[in-house]
Amino acid sequence: MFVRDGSLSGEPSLPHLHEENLKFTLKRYSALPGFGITMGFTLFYLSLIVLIPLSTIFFSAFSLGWGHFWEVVISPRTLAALRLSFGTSLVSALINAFFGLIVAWVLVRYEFPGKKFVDAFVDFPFALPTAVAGIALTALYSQHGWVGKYLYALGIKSAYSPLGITIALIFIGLPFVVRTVEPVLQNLESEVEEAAASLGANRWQIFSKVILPTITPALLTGTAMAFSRALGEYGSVVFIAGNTPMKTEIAPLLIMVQLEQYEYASATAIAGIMLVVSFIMLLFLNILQAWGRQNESL
Amino acid sequence: MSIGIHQIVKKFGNFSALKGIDLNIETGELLALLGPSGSGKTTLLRVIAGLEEATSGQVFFLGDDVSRQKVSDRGVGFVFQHFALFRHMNVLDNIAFGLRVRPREQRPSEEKIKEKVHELLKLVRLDGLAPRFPSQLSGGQRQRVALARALAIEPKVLLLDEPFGSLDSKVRKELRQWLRRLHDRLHMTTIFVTHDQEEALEVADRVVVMNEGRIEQAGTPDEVYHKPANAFVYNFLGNVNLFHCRLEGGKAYIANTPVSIKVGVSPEAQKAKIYIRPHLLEISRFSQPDSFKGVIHFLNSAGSVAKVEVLSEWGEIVQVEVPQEQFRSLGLKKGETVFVTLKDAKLFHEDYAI
Repeated sequence: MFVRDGSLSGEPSLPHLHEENLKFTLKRYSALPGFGITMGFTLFYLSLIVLIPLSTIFFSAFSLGWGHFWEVVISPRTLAALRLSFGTSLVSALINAFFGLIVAWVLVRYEFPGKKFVDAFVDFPFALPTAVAGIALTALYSQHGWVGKYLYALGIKSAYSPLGITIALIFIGLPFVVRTVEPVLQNLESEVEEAAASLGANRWQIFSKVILPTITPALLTGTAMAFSRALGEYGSVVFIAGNTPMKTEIAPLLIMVQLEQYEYASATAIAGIMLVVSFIMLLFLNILQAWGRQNESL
Repeated sequence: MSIGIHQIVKKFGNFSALKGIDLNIETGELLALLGPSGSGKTTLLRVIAGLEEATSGQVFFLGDDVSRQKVSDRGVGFVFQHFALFRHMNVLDNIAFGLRVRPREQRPSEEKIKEKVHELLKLVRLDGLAPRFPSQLSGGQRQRVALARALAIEPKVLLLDEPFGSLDSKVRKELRQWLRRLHDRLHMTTIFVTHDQEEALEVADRVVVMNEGRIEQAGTPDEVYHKPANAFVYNFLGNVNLFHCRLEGGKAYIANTPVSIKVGVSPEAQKAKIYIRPHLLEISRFSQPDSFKGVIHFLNSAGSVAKVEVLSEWGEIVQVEVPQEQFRSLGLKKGETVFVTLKDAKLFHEDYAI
């Protein structure tokens, strides 16, 4: 029979983390040189390029005084603009998540003629000046445009509406999802899918239970990037949006409008609130990812 | 479950991985597919599993032709060389996967599944590790989770692709003995692929030696080891010395030294190859009938036998294994002249490239 003890049961257990030295030191000995200088440069660079400019937003906004600041923030025009910006950005990011995944899937999984061209097209929204994209999209989706005339005939207002804004945001956000999901899909071991198939899983089960959980972190990252990009997008949106206050005026545009009226403090107040809300959303996403990833470091 | 393999051919583009394989596997048999890399052994296993479709030929399970069946319908348990565990699932979910993906009407209840998983964990001796993730397990533990996962669907046949290939040598020795005992208990038809002849000879009921997409020999470990069908099998199943010799008047000559080997009657001079395992050569200090002379070139006595390399009089290195006792009583030293006798050699007339 199958009784012979000792040899297999005594496997080494994993070392416990708290057995390790818990003393917190900023610098650990490492074979890689240059920690001091590169870390110093990183902090300096980030401060100069990102942190100091961002902090001035808050300094400037608070020059309004708390009462006035709050007045700007909860004014109906600001709230409408923020709602529009966050709403369209979220919808476009979600649409990009879905279709971006399909594009990445096709590019990784199948061989077809012209694959290289399709691959290159994905990067177009990165390379194109956003104003050019905006003008092109407006021409296409306005009442007399190639696509717009059919949509308008169906009663769908595809330009100068939240729908138009969403279309522009989808356009500029597509590469983020495709480019973040692609490498993860490429690294997927075919053995894992074969294992699932040998255990009786059908194609949909293999996708939903094995592939999707593996690429979810990358998909979330790509979606978050597309969302952030959409939130700050200005150039391509202003042409197709129509920019009617309370209806199709996005937050970045409202900031521009305030600036043009020399209302610097109001402009920075809106910017500040956008910053805080997007920071919270990205933080939430990161926490979600860290939680999903904690057990998968292989 | 018995498996029949009939004239299986598999081509990848211009390359023929399998060139017409015929093989029958009995119910409850533990069979090893043994061969060097590129011999087609893994391809054959994948064809049996349905992970690869044969270019031509048929696979029969219990007499039914399953050649066109998909892997998910064949009911085979497949264990991959690199485990292929689902990294985002813990051990319990990994093992339960095959049961949970069943259509609703065939799916056991969640309690039944959990019960089954714990039963399997006990079988592979990993009880208590159900909540762990694959990244928290050692290689040997991962392999056993992969095995438990394959067994969970109660497969008709268990297929293992180099199951111990990526483990270190001590763990693989333990695991292969354990696999043998597990098989003796479950009596499930099992086929495993390996390039390690020791593993195949030690574990399997029957060994199929493959080379370049063909079966060279199929037989019990004893048969293939002691009665090799050809030079390839003999050479693959252990260390050998190869001598080119000339047959003349019922005697074999290496260079111009006659050696003691039965060659039968050969009417005229003929070339042949002699293969001999290092432990079938004997070293002595004095000349014996039909022995050849040589100089000790290298000595290594660490291990169960002492390994001696002798530079023969015709200038070739000959490997000899000497039992430790004899090695000590002979008191061999490097640079000494010794005489070597062939105790039992295999003679192959065919011209076999190695």
